[in-house]
Amino acid sequence: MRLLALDVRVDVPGFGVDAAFSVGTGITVLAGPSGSGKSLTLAAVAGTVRPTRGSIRFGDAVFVDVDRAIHRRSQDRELGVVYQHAALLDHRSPLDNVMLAVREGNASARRLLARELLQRVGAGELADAKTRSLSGGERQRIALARAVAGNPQLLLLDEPFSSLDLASRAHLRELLKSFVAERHLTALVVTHDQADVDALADRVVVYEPGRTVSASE
Amino acid sequence: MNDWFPLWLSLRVSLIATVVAGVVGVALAYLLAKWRSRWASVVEAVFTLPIVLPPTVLGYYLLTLLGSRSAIGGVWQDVFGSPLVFTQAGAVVAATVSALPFVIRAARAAINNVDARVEESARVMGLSEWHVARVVTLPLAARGIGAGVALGFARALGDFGATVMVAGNIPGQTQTLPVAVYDAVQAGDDATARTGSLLLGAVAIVVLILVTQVFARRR
Repeated sequence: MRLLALDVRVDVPGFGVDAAFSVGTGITVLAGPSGSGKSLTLAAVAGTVRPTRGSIRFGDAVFVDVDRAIHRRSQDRELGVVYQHAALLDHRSPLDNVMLAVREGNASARRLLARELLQRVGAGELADAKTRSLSGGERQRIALARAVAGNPQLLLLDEPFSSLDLASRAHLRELLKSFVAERHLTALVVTHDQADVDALADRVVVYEPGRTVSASE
Repeated sequence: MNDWFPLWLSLRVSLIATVVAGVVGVALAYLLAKWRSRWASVVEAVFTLPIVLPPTVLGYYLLTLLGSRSAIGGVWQDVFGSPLVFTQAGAVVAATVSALPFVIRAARAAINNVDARVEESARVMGLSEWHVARVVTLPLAARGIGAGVALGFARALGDFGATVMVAGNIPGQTQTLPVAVYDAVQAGDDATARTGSLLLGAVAIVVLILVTQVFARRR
């Protein structure tokens, strides 16, 4: 089992967070008030901000080790991400969006895999739709398909369901749980929604402003 | 106007200049937008000079830089067997340098406006920097880049001062339409001056309409 082990301080102008926890496969929910540093922790794992102290490891892979000046590029961390606003490429079709994230195979193999994933998340008929015109729920389903398309072992989800209606949330939670279970993924989910915690969490990391306070199964 | 050479030369020179300024300008704009250093603004200022310098002064700099006795001019002459200045190639250089800042400024602004989260998520998906630029950043900045290229074309087509300094005013060889208009006025040939001016005015208006209607339109 690959363990995500993290003990870092991350600073951005006007704010900093100390985060320390170790989690294995399954869904870990990062919970706590707004502005406590949950999303910043996720950004540090994704490699979009650089920690000022500490290290982040995933299995044998060292993502960050500040003392040894190691900062692995985002591209080389083999992650999948889902953001609150899906950050899809509006100028490309849903199929292209998913295909771009597939890391292996020739074009037709990547297209085939992308189509399968879109089917899997219930968006098969949207493969060639105009991405800009999709609903929030449709966009997040495509974002989830894209997040797993590169066959990552680690998924990062930042408020992935908060802009969706109840039915879409329930559907996406089930999809996420099934991907995590089938592929033995490690997933970090930032959420404010207690229903997400209840439905998803194999364990919870609790934040208070600026630091993690506990991790529980 | 019975000699159409200046019009064709102007169109050819400005099209080539636009292609060169487009490629070089977009590449520079991308590097400047991503280069987090105070030197970036110094480099941008240098490439923006052609907007604020008197065109004749710009032409003088180019003449000094590219003339037969300069290093660049010498290499050009060795390679191509003819000088760079007072040729059509010189006219292309003058037009390119005049157009470049319009492309750079518009493209840099458009590239800076691309949502950083979309670029980040593409990187996290595993796309290389080159792939992110090609698939994400440049397509999302395309309207702004297009507007800059169109303005650059208009500027290249209309250049007088730098062109006349670097390429000279040789009828049938380096005389572009703006230079021909000046020549016609000097010679009292009102009909030629009028036709040339109307043509250049019409092209400029078409380009400006294109910029505001097509490229600069908000989503």
